[in-house]
Order: sequence, then structure tokens, then C-alpha cells
Amino acid sequence: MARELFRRMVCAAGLPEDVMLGMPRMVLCGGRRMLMENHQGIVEYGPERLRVKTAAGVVIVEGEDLTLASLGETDLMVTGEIRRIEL
Amino acid sequence: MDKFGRVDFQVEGLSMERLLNQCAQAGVRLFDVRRRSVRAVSASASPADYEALRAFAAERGWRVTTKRNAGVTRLKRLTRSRALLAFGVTAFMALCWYASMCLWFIDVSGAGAYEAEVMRILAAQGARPGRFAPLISASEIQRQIETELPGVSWTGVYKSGVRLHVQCVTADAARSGGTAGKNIVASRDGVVHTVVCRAGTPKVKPGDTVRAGDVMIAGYERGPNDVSVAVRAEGSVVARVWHTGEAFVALSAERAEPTGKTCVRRILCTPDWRYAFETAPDYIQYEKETGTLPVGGALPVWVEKEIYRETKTVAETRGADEVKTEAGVAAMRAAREKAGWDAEIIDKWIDYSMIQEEGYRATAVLETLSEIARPSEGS
Repeated sequence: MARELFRRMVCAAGLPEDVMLGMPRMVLCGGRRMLMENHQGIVEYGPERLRVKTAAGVVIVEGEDLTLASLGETDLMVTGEIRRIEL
Repeated sequence: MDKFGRVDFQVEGLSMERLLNQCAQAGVRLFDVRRRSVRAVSASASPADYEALRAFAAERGWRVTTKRNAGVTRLKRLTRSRALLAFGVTAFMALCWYASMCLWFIDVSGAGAYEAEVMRILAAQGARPGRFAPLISASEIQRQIETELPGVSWTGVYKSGVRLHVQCVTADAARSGGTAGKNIVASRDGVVHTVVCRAGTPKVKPGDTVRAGDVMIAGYERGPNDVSVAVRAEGSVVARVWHTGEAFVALSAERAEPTGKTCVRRILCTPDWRYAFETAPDYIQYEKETGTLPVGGALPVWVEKEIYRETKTVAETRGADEVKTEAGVAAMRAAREKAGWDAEIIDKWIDYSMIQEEGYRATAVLETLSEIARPSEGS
């Protein structure tokens, strides 16, 4: 509840949620590249399915020939034929 | 630890996702992560991160296999196993650099009969092929040539890449007209006002009267031991010069005055044929105005319209003062054009004379301070 209240305050103040609340930020370029920031770990990784834990829940990325082009502590880049992204 | 380069590797074991998360938490950045099988993942990392990954992979039972080194890492391993090759390459590059810093060619031009002396001076300064360029002072060589060879009127020494250039102009070449414009002569008559001599020997002083072609700055200078050295004279001479302009304006003038009679004539035209609807008038004196009407549209047909206005010549007598003023203005304008519109005018006057009551002739004289120096042509 405190977190929800804090989230509402951040939204009301117009502050960036990804910075203040650690919300994930995803940038999708076409259907072949996606950059995700503020992730909290890999839950599942395979060539056709990737599940990533975030502050907003588990993000599921499905497609073909999925590759983690870059994997860092808080950011990752997925390349391949991305078909579906589910929050 | 290495920060540059890349190591491709494969990790085998259980819970590959756990491996990826632990790499992320440990600050180990992975690239091109691909799932090879349920129990195998391939990736790339920097050499430093690879060593860190091997350390905690060994603790947790994952097996890490190096597949390939790339970039600086590969180069480093190659040089480590071929030390002599690395040393040879480094030595070769150092030798190339040293060779590029040496002077290998010496070009001497224009020395003429003094070439042997110039070569002697170069040898005394240590300038020879294969010498390290920073050890050779071009300015010192130039100073030596100028001091020891008075017969060389100009010297230029400079280094360009692996070449040393020595350019000379002997006094004989300068005297024989190898370079035009040795003396400075007067371009027109005048009385000298100021003389500024930058090279050569001045032959005139302020107050002297010169004529066009007179030498004002001679192309030689007295060197040490009273030796005359040929130079290209440079300088400026400003003198008082006079510019004259004349003009004549008549007292009576004729002008054409219309009588009031007008005739209009239309002609139908094509490129090859013309038909006039009216004949031309028989005016003795007239003014004609023409116009064209494109009546054909896209066709090449048009109508030419000619308007004839009969005129007669009427003599008009103008006032003497008006004519005199006009003549003076015209004469002054003519004098200004000769002098140049940017000339510094120090005095001016106009003389008038009446020509048998037909008109006024005005003569304007402008006295200006002008630059009259110009290089002479030939030797």
C-alpha cells in the first residue's frame, strides 16, 4: 500500500517512474530488437521464449531465434524474431 | 586484467538462468548469449569478465569451455607465443619511423657558379643524405650562405619530408633580368611628395620633379665592403600630379518639336511575307514608334503597328550662365575620371573661354597626390 501511495505521488509529480520506482523500460525496434532496462533477473531463457522478472511483474517475450545480445546487471537486449511481448 | 578483446565460451551445467542472473549481479556483462541446449549456453565476454565468470562457475559446478579468443586478447596470445615476431614487427616499425625522420635527398637549385660553395657549406653544417633531420638547422644553413656568399642575392632553405631544399638566386641572374621589374620608375610626370624605399636605392627626394620613365628607386644596394648587390627595388613614391579635363557646350541647341500630324500604319506579317494596310507618310522629319501584336496565337502571324509623328527642328538659345556651368561640370567630371574617383584632391580650378559666341569651352585641372611608382620592364 505504501508503494502504491508512493507510485501515485510520483505520477502526480510528473517524475519518471523508471527512475523513481525502478519500473522496467522497454524499447522495441521493429520486431527484431528490444532493449529492456530495470530488470530483476532472468526467469527462463530459450531460443523461443524469454521470461524476465521486473518490478511490474514477469515480462514474457516470445519469438524465434531469441538471443541475448547483451546482458547486464539492470539492462538486457534481446534480438531475434520477436512475435509477442506479454506483461 | 584485460579490458579489451573478447573471449567466446560455452558453459554447461544445470540452471543456466541462475548462471545468467549471477553473472548480472556480479557485474559480468555477457554478449551474444545463446541457448545451445537445456544444459548449455554460449556467450562472449571481455577477458576480465571471463576470468570472473570462471571463478564463480567453478565454485558452483558449471563447466566453462573457451571456444575462441578475439581482438586484443587473440593478438596478445599470438605475440606471447611468438615473441620474436612481435619484437621484429616493433623493430621494423621503429626503423621505418626513424627513416622517415632522416633527410635522404638534398636539392640545390639556382646556385649557378656558387653550387660548389653551397655544397661546402652544407657539408660543414652536417647536411648529408641519411642525417637525422632535427639535427640539421635550415635557418643556420641559410644564414651561412647569405653571410659567406655575397654573390647570392637571395637564399631559401627548408625541409620538406625527407628532402632538404636549397634555393638560390645569384646576383648575376637578378642583374640579367631573370626577374622583371628591377628598378622603380615614374608612371607619369609629377613633383615628388613622399618616398618610401623598402628595397633598393632611392634616386629622388621630396620636391624633385620627375618625368614619366625616370628611375626613382634603383635596383641595387651597397653591401659590406662597398660591394653593390643587385636587388629587386621595392617602395612607393607619392607625387603631386595634375589631371586635365575639357568640355565644350554650345549656346544654341536644336531640338525636334512635334507639329501635331500623326499617321498610323499597320502591317500584317508572317516569317516570309508582309502586307501593309496603309502606305508610309511622306513626312520629311518624323519620329516613329513601333509595336507588335501577336494576332496569330499559336500561328506565326503578327501585326506591326507603326506610329509616325511629324516633327520640325527648332533652334533654342540657352542662357550663358547655364551653359558655362554645364561646361564646367562636364570638364571637372572628365578630369575626375582621369584622376580616379578615389584620388586625393589637393587643388582644382576651371578655366573658361567663349568660342566666338557659339558656346563655352571649360578646362578643369585637378591636382592630386597619387602613387606614381611602377616596376620597370626588362633589365
